Amino acid sequence: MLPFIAKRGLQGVVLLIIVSFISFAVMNLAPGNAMQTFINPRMSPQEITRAEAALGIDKPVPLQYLSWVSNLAKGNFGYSVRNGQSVTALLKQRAGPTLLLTMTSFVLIVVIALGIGIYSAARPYSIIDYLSTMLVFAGISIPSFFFGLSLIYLFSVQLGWFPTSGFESYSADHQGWALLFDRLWHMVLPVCVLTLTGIAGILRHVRSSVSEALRQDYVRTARSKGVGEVAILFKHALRNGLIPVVTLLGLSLPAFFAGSVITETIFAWPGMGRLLVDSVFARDYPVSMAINTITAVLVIVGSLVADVLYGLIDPRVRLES
Amino acid sequence: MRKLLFLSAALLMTGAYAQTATCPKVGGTATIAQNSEPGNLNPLIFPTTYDTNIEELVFNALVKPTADLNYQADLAQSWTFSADKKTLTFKLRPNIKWHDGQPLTARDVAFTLTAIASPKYNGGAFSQVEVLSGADAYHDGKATSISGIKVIDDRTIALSTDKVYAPILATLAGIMILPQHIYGKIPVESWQKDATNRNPVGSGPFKFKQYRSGELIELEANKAYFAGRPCLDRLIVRFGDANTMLAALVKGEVDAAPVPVPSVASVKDNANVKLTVVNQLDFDYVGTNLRNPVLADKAVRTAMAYAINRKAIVTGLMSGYGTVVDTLFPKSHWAYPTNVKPIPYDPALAQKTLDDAGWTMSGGMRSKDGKALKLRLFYTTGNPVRERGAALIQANLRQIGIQVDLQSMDFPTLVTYLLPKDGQNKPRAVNATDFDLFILGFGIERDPSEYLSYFTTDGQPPNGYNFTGYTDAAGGNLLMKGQETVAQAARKSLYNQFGLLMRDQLPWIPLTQAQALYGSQTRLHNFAPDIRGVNVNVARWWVQ
Repeated sequence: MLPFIAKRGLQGVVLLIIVSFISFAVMNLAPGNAMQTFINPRMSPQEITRAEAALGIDKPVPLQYLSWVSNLAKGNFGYSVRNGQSVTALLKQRAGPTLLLTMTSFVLIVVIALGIGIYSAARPYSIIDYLSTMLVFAGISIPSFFFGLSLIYLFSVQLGWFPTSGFESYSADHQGWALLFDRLWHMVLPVCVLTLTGIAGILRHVRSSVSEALRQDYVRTARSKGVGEVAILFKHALRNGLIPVVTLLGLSLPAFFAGSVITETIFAWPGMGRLLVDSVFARDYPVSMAINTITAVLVIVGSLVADVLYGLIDPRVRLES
Repeated sequence: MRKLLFLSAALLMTGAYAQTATCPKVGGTATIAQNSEPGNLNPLIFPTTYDTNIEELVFNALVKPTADLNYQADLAQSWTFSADKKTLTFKLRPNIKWHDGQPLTARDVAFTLTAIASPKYNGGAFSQVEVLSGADAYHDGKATSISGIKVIDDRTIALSTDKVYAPILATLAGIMILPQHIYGKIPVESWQKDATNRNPVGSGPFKFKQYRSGELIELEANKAYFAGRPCLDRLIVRFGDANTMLAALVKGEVDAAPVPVPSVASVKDNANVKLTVVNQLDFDYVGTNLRNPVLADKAVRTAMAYAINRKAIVTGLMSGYGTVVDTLFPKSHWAYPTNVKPIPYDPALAQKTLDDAGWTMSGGMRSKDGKALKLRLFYTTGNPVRERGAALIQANLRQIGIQVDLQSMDFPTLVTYLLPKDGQNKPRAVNATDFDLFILGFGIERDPSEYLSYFTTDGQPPNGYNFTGYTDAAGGNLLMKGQETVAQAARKSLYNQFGLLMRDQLPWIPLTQAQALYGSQTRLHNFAPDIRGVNVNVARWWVQ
């Protein structure tokens, strides 16, 4: 196991370098830079040139990349061009709200997808199965910005049940439980959006994978031996049926993290997704590179964890290098 | 003694009376929304509108614009020009204090202006003080101070220029004064990254309290403000997507927010929300590349101006919240020439203009000397009026035989065409093939002398913003004279002539001027944004 992890870790580092260079190059190939978003008549073009030099964004891309990497090696993500803050400090402020939002939705997705998916596989063509299919199609086809705005319109503006946006209320200085409750209240709508849009693929996967397992010979054998349906499902079918789901979950976690971009923007949620959008529009490359790199690390670690879990669950898979 | 006591009581009472006269109710919190987060809160580091909206609450300049674009006292109590009009002496108000209690003196003013001219400063404002005598020498490291800045005493400062520079008040209105006791300790080259950008100490009506990244900025009333304490106790500025903030306004979570034109109906139907329509000085125009021989032909530009249905843009795309613009000044600007001949929407006249100039039509397309009338139009994304307007302009021009290919891009990308760079990433001159037509907006806020950079031969990139390549000395001379003339009536006449000339020559084809829409909760009183911005009378806002 250990040599496998070491080898995959090394591959991951190489992959990370390639990914970071490509994203750095692609960003810098886009015409325009951060300074050009500031242009106004009261500033001369010479001042823009001088500021570009001060920020080091006038140098050739490979040189800029090298200086970025050498800073990163010292644990320094650089400074935001837009507001001069250290990127690490900026990420620290924004990571908490994003983790809170995505992790809550992720847990909900896993619980709901497993629950409904397994039930639908065991009881195909039942009402729940049909409803879940509808849910899946809705989740796939409704864009999250539209869904988010619809929820705001219905549940905040019309019914007044939830706040429209934000992380917490500003009208009162909440403490303790009141603050916790207030934040939970603000989370309901964005979590709904992330859960519904994130659940679709996983739920379908659980259903098809478990029903595939239920059609296997060993299930038929167990059934002919008189094993009860519940035992067949939980002892035999799930064990095999959920193996591919574990991989899918491991891989989808980072994508899910990145997928909160639109939801955070719609709900004015002070997380990393919204920071990414703002920094991309402002050509604030130090910030967007940092978020891209973190996402890439999560993808690499996520797939490694999925592989390791796969080996643990399924003895047929050998993790030897 | 008794007399003295009586006198102070009377003074106290008048003070209290003055306060209630302007503030029917003191206290409370108002929450306003803006669509983007400010970058930083140092007004001398690349300020954007989102930054300035908040910086104006925390900082002051020497003078500030009035609603009719004249100038009134801010930190300065009075000012006098010398006989030769080259020296301007400011007397500051007595006993002004920074938010941390330190006195604000003429030395802070001198410090701020000197810092911008420092060779190490790179925040984008140097060109504003460049006009002061000796600023260039100081900037180039040839002098240790700026000869044109003289602190006479704590309350008096004199600023001199080498030649008469009429827009000096406009320039100074744009420079907010920073506290020397704080920024003086930070090397000017580190200003951009300093923590003070997110914890500013100013002298304005509101004190900075906290900045929550991605969420809000909280300000509290400066109870010792020299122009009287604001009626509100607390002001919160939230940032968020335009649609979301509008929903928050309708629900009552925020007290004021900008209203996108397509959403105006939802505000109009709401009894708790008041809609305020504000004229602005920004207008959109089609810029032309005069280096391109086709566009150098005045007949082509004139025909395009006649063929574009600008009224349809106002009624169809802006829901009527705007007007057409006929020259480079909006109607509400003092430099607008009232005798300007409106640009008609007249496709037949456009056709005739092209016919007369020898552009012949065949197969729906015009050409002359084998050259087809085919142009590219660049426009920026993110502004629905401009995006749909571009399509309308394309259709309008097709009718008169001009083929227009549309190309949309974001603003920084468009800038790379207008201010091009060479292979070594160094700024270079614009050439005839860089672009043909582009749609941009221009906000002429304080003084038309801003146009110097846009309409003089020397102002062509990389030296200025004359993207168009306008080289007629007639326009440039009028602008130059305008900058050197102090008498307002004479200036007005010069800029009027410039306006008429631009209407005739059309290097920019003026399009439309949009009005800004704001919604405010009825509990928020005295919310009255105008051409100067949304927070212009913030000290008088009060909540029920």
